[in-house]
Amino acid sequence: MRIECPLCGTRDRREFYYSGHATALARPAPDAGAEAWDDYLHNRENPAGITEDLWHHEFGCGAWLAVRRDTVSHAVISARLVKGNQL
Amino acid sequence: MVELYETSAAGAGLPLEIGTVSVREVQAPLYLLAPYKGQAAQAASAFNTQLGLEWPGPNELKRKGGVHALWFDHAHIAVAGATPSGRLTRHAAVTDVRDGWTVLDLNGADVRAVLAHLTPLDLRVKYFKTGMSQRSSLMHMQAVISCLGKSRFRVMVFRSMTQTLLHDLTCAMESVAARAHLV
Repeated sequence: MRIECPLCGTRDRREFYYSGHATALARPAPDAGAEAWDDYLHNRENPAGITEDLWHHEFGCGAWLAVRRDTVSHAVISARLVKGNQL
Repeated sequence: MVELYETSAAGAGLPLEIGTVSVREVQAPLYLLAPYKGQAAQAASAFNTQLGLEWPGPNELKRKGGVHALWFDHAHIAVAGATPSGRLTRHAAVTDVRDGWTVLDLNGADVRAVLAHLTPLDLRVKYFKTGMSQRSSLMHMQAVISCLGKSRFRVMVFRSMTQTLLHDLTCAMESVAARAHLV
């Protein structure tokens, strides 16, 4: 598996650390209510198809990436820098 | 102030020569530069004025005389062999990291084969060209790997991992050298 880091180029999966779904970027407002916060903290989709995850390029540039991939075909579709571009 | 003596990170472990590849330590000033918010252009301009080098982009290594400027990570570049001063220090945070990193030069015909044992980078001449500097893993270490020539590389790892680096390099060099005798 390879991920195309927008800075470093195409790199081996070993250089990256996985950190769950990109939901973490969509932090609700403090007063959004218990349900929104429950979803944000605990509830995740488990799609058969396209999903977006956060990966840390820990052995490369150190940037956080949001990576789109297909859980059915295992294809990695795209990767973007999280910095300055929240969801 | 008390006068401190600089000690070599690798000490008696170097220089090392196995098969066609030799390893020696490089001791030079080393600084990390991070532009202050919104001041990337001014920092690059001051950098160019002081060092006569362009601010390196991703995976780039710029050289002039004994000074190396290399892309370090998503927020930093590194300068080796010179001390940033003056206007540059007003536009970028400058950190002296000379005592935090071990820098080794690897030379020899089989150097790419040796590194291929240790890192997932594509080391073919066509893809890892002279003047490139890439961040990647070297076994379990977070490394900076720069290409100075077709068979000449510079490797940097955290100073605390020097002995691990020497061990892993020795294993890879012995392995490559041993295969040369099998043909």
